[in-house]
Amino acid sequence: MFDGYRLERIRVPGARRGALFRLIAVLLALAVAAAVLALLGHHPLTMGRDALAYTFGSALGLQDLGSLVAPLVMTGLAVMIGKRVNLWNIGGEGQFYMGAWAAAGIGIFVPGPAVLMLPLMALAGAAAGMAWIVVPAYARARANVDEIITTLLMNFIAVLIVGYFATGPWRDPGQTISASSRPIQFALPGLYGDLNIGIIVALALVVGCWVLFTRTAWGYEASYVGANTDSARYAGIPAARRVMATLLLSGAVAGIAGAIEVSGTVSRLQVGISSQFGYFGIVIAALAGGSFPGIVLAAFLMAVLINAGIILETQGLSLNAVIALTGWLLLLTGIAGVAAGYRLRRVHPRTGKVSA
Amino acid sequence: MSDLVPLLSNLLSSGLLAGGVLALAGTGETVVERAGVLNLGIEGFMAVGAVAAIAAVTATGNLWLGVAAAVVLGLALGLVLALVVVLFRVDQVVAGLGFSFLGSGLAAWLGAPYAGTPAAVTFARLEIPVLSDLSFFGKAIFSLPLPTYAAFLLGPVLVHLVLFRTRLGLGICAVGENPAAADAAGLPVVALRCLCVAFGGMMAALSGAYLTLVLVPTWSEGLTGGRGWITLSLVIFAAYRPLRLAVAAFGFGLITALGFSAQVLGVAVNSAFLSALPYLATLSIMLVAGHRARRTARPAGLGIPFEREPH
Repeated sequence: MFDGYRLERIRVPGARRGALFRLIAVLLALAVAAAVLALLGHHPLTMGRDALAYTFGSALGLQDLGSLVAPLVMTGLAVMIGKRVNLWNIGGEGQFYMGAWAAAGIGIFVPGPAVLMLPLMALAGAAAGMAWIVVPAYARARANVDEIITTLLMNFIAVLIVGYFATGPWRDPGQTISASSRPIQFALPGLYGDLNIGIIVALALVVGCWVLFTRTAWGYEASYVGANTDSARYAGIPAARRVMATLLLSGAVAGIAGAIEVSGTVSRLQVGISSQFGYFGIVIAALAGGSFPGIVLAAFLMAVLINAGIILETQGLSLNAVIALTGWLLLLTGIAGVAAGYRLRRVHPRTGKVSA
Repeated sequence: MSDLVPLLSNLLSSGLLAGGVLALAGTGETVVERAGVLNLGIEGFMAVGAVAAIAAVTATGNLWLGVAAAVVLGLALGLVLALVVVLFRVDQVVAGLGFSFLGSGLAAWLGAPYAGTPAAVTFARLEIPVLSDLSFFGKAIFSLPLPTYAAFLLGPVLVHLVLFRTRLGLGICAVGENPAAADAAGLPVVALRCLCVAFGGMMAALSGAYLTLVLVPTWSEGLTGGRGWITLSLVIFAAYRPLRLAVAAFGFGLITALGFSAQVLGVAVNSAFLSALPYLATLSIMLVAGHRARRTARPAGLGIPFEREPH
């Protein structure tokens, strides 16, 4: 079938080619998901139309979407920051939980003016996020301990801690169902309807990180360490310190996401405060493929998918179906990344010369 | 003092029961990593195996069909993973996480109808004559369900023998250490790696079936609870050796059981803390395993896709 054709490796595939292949992967993943739904007896086209009509056709739908985009941009950004030093922060979920926990602690118990308290809550969230990655980061930077497993394990502990506080010491005694804490006294200023300024904070963080990693010497050094640690060390860059600082920043961003979730969208500390945002962040970073604007686009796409999963719950879908879809998406994105590095070339049958 | 024997006895048997999950998945992953491939998707394989087993048992009432369902699905998914990481050479972290999400998501979504209902049939305890009558811990060790023995003895011993005493095992280890040299020596690198990944997928799915047919025995969302990730760190901690892995799995089973026993005894420790124990313990061993001595055991070709140099 491939007579007369030859796979040829492209030395450095361009960013645009990579993005095109990832886009194809997304479309292919959705097509396969639709086929699976059809096989299971659903009507994927009707479902897709219903979900899109609600999400984009109503003010409420758009607000829901916006409230999802904000945390997803931040958790995606957190993963991408780690990838700058070529490491995987799979612990965004736990850092999100701990950020929410720290912010809620201040928001419930410390009195003060909102103007002061809201930034303080965000700072506490950042600090908690950092605290939740400091051990894996140090172990990685100093002793080369695999960060994937350690950051992930921290997630389970964070979920247990938040569960303990939300249903234990911080429980709302007025509530019969004791799955959430007392209300937080401060709320983020709203933008429009249910949508708060969280989305602006998220976008500002993306811009800030873009500047840091592409326009400063520090960011250049960190990326250098990520590309080739030995070479960077030889060039006199303190590799371990750059790795440490970059991972702490990654944890801080995920922590801020958690702080914003409790001070904006949820306003209580809940057992399931993160709807798997940390894990979705991994898929978002993979889809973005190292591009900062790509994070926003990928987070938007993911928000649409999650929203669809929630809206279509009555039709047999759920957040879990979306998680399965994102796993499939991640696989195809990986394949697309490899495929982008090859080109199919026609070989002239007689001369053996290659033509495009 | 007289209370101590039944207490320890109970702890011992609970530890073996709970550790069986990790022993099964860990034996498989040891083979996968010896061949130079990292399967980060164990958690997903486990969840799929758990649901497949309970679904098959609910439909047929036959335990072994439950096991067979997990085996078939595990092998099939393992072959897909092998296709993706060995043949397509996709980044093993991305592919593994993809399988983790895909498996966990599918299991939680399609397994929802089975959530909370106990398995129709489960593996009963097997009282081994004479031995189970031994005083002290005879009952604890020699009256466990069949899969627990298979997980701790059959699996690790067989894998140990194959890995270190056969040509096949030598080939697997060579492929994991230096695939280019193995290839030059005429070993089928791609085929061996695919075989090992499929085996690992089967074992991970079986460990899921162990959850729903032996240990719990029911399905609920999030049932795997990070056991796939704990398995991954145990494999490193055991320095990629199946017999050591079995011991480590038992140790972890004990830690899990310790939490349960403490709760039963009414020890005044918070239950959230007790639930966090396995994760804290895993973190600690990861930090210890980062030590140089353990790292030298790591197959040199681990995680690196193999590609024959173009001529």
